[in-house]
Amino acid sequence: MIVQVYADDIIFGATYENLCNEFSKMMKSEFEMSMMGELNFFLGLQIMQTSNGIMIHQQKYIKELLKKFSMDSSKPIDTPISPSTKLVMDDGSSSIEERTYRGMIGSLLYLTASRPDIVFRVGLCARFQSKPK
Amino acid sequence: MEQNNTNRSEIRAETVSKPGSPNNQAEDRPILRTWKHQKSHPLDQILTDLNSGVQTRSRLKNFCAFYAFLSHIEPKNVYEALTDSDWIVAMQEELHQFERNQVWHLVPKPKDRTIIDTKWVFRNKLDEQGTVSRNKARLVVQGYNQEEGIDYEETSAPVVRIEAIRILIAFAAHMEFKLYQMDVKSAFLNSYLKEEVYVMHPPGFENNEFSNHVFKLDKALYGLKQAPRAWYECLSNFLLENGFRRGKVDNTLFLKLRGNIY
Repeated sequence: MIVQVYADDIIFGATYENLCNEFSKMMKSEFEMSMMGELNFFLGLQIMQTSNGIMIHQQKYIKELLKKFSMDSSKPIDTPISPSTKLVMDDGSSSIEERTYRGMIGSLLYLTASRPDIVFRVGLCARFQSKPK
Repeated sequence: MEQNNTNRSEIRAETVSKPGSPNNQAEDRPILRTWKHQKSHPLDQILTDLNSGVQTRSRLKNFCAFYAFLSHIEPKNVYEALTDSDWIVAMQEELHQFERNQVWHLVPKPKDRTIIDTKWVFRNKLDEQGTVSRNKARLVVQGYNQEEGIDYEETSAPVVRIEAIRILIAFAAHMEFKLYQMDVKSAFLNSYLKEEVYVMHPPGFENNEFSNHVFKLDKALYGLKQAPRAWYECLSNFLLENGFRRGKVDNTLFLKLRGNIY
């Protein structure tokens, strides 16, 4: 029996179904609980449990991100960055707001939980955070 | 909305100026001339908000079920809320919950202790379609008035990392078992406090008979600095008592083995 606690949210699972029932009964006797059933959404992570395995994605989170940074009409691109890209200090162009930029990087870092493929470019951007252009 | 309004006024200006400009030739010009066919419905005749979208019957059903019993505005302060019966019910609900959980009791006002202010927070809960499904009033403590060492000591509480959840999911996939989820209703109201904390009467519900009394908290309230920690301790003690083992690396993971199996 495995139990994972996040503040007032609890995830649990066991190799035997009756252990789960026992646990939920025990918790309900002690605290006022609401049973939400199978795990499908947790901390922005969407989880699909099928007989073939478990799939995770963060589609909702991504859509919210695009809306938040008003990029929901931007053009999707297959290759996010060329591996030979070099970020340099460039005083030619005008600066953008540092706060928003840092917010973007932080949000994208959280996204790496389900998208390890963007780790490289997010890491690259994260190395240059002062006076973004 | 704003954009609509400007559009609307522009169009209105156009329709006004058209019949107005040939004013001196109005006698010989037939009136029919002004009844020009318009492609789109004039905006100033549209009653509802253009952004509200299409109403379907199934949506309306849900809407009607709650419409009469819920307030659609979120009051800014308690005085505004006290004018609305729906919000008074919501506030009473919250206070009843305190009663049920035995969160606090009245004591005579202690000297040389800080009495922390309380505040109401009003939120409308929306359902998936975005209609108001619940009025929620929550009494919170203004934790920034707490003094370290007197009103609280430790405040840190462990939370799980998303990577840990990913590993748990991978493990569940490997062992082929299902994961379930549940949540604790008003979790903080379950956890006992170690420190003595005194709070003021909830605004709007002051009892004049006990005006020189204050509430002493037995359990945590929202907004207290130590509330998350108190809750974590409460839950982990309960689990440890019931034969669970705490994870050595991830303190928010609890294990219970039966023989050699999970």
